[in-house]
Amino acid sequence: MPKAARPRTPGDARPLAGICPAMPAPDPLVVQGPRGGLYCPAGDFWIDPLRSVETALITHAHADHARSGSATYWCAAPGAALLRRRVDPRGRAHLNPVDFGAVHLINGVRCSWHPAGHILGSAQIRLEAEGQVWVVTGDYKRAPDPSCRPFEPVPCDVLVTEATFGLPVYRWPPADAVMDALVAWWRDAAAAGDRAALWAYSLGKTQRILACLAARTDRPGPLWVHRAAAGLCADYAAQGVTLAPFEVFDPATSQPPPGALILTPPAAEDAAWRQALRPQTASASGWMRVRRQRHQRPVDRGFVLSDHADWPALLDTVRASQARTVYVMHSPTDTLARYLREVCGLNAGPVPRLAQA
Amino acid sequence: MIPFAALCDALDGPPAPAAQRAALVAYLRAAPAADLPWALTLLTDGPRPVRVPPADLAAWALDALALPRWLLDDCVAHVGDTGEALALLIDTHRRDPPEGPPRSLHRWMTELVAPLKGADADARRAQVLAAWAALPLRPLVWINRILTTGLRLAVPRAVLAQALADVSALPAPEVAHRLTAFTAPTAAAVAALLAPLAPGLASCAPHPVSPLEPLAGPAEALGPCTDWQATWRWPGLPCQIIRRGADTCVWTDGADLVSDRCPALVAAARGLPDGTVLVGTLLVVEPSAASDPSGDRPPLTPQPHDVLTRRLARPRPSAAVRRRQPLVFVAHDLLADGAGPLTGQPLRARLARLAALSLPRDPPVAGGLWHPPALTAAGWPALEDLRQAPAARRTRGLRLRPLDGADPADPAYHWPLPALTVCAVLVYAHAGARRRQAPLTDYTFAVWHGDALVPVAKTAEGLSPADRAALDAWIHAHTLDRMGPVRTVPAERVFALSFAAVTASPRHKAGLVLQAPRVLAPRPALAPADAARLAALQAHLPSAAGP
Ligand SMILES: [Zn+2]
Repeated sequence: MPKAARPRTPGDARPLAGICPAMPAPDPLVVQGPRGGLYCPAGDFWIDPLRSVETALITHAHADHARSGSATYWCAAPGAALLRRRVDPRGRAHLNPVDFGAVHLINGVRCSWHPAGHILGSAQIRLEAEGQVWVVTGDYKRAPDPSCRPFEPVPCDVLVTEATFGLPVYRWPPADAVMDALVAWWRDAAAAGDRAALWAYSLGKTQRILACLAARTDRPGPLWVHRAAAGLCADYAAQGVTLAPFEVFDPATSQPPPGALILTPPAAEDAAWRQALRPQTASASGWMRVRRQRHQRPVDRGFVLSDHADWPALLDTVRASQARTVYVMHSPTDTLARYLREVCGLNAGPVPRLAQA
Repeated sequence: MIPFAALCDALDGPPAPAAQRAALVAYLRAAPAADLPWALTLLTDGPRPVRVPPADLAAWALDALALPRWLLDDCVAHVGDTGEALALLIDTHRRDPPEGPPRSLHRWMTELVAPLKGADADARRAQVLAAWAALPLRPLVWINRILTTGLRLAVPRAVLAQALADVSALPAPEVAHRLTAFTAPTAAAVAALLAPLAPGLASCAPHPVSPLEPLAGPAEALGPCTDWQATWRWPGLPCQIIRRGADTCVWTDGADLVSDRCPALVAAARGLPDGTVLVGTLLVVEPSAASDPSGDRPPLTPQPHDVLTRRLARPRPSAAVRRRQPLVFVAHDLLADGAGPLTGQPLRARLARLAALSLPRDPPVAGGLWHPPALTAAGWPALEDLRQAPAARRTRGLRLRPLDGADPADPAYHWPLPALTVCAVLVYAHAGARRRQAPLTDYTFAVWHGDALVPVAKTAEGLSPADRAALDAWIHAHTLDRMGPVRTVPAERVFALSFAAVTASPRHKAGLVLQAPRVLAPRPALAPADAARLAALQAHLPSAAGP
């Protein structure tokens, strides 16, 4: 029988900050903006805004966190080139790259960026003002990834955590075992004289896989990377990340030979080249753990490989933060917040809204 | 158990016969002999040794993991299946890797699953908890599935038969036939399944039959009507019944063996001579006609095609299903009889031999074999009259074959029914895929019944992508109400529809539904009040007298 009879309880049970009458909850340092993104009233800046603002603090360069049009961007230095490429290719905005751990005073709020382990330059943002410490995790993972700095726990009073996989059905198998299975699948395809095509996000997943493959000597064939991801790979290399060598895959003209592994973003999966090359196909994503979601993708194989935190990692991170209040973002359900409230005895829920502030 | 779980993972998902066959062959070649009886029993959804209610599994797991019920409910809602959600939850909360040496499929089935039958609740719980602790995730998912619902992978029998043929050098049709008798997870059953062919044994495989070509041009161009065999083309599946020794094989669509789905037909065919190969159409008919009060010879009313496919998908149809959905085999050719093959002989001679079999000539309303009388028509105009008659609407039209043709590849024709048209009003639109920008998948059209509009057809066929884009824009702007994926729109737009037939349908408020509806054109000049009335469609319902 599985031996985890006792649920994980982050910290010991103390009176809840939110409901203890002797200790009224202070004004929130961060609130939910009306149209996405987080707003810090004390510092009059935004974190990961989805529209143009004056000052945007960015956790990482994914499109659902970094949008173009703002006047000033702050981000962790290793991700600055990625952010520039994604939101400001013409260099019109003012971009402030900051070193991990360095503190910057922005309108009186002490701000610092700390590794989140999600993609290159992904960061948690720590805010300190009015005697409170808040940490906004952005997207993060706790699994090893040779393409970026590993997650570092940051103690805080209030943790704002992502929970893309905030259900206890999600626990990632060891990344090494997944890479072994992936290479075995590639080898079988190559042995059958086929090409292998793996759907992976162009920023993050692709480079993580290339970095993992760089360390392996058992690659059964050449690597091809969709041109949408090629420039991003150069940004990784410029930051000293070792990627396996690859050729750029242009769906209109490229002819990868049998035995090749083609890494391509999911959006390109229905394209004509798939008819022409007839590759064996697979998808690498956390969603592949659940049968129903695996079948929504038109692929032969699913590899459970995620750049987000799984359920145990979410609970570990909450515990390590020592926060008494946890706000949950990007969650498909209320499950994590309810678990933190009812099982762990924490103050937990969605990020407060601007109107209530 | 790990190789079997990997096989299940490979077979699971959208239909992919080639990949499924390859996965099965790889598994069958490598699996230990002792695993095969269980693997085949599970893959064919044969009788199960035990059923454990999912609620029992859930209670045991929640208790052992000390998790609240709502947490499991959230997971089941997300995952869609209790057994899988439990397997994932157990795996997430595991501290140690699965214990114990791996056990093979047959040991799991004989040492865990089978003993659960008759065990008391405590013993069951202890057994299942021990199994959960010992199994890695993927086998855990499939064991939970086996315990609760059975494997239900829906691997087509033809694919499984093909894979078994690949590893045994037996012909695939022979394996398919033997699989219909495979129900017990025993070594003897596997041995019988894979035994070499008896020398001299005839094949039970279906014979190739040339497909029908649509008739282009007037029937008169075919020459004298008396040179042609005209038969009704019923809405069913092409079918062959083959008698061989004590065996009867019923094949549909040239590849699917359905003998175990239609025991009544098999029993009816038992009297036919050894070697008989009957060609015809398999359909499900309405059983109600049996009590036709008129006392006249009751006609056949075929049930819709999806009823037939669902009926044939049931492994062991109950007596009630067989009564509600009787199967009729309509014979129209004979390729061999007790005296040997007839394929070299002209159709005229084959039909004489078919008549000599004395199959029932009256429609068998309770199911069975039927050799309908020849369509006696004095020339093409008389056949044309038959084709135009309302009674023809229960069929798909006529099948025309040259009476002197001895070659199965001789051209044979499908003479479809004349298309019918009606003007109807758009009343609902249906959203399809969850993508917000996806086009609406279907439109519902209605005709007047009194002063109410009653839906009679649902289709998007016939509209060009540009038409649909314009129509969707209008619908999005004018939606009156939404219920799930269905939008109600103002009854303002009139369309001309074509359709092949009208069939009675108690499930529809109109009492009927159009078959094969197609949008011909929008009719912007028509007001909604100009749309057709229900009575006009009722006139096309097949009357009591007919083919
Ligand atoms: Zn991200």
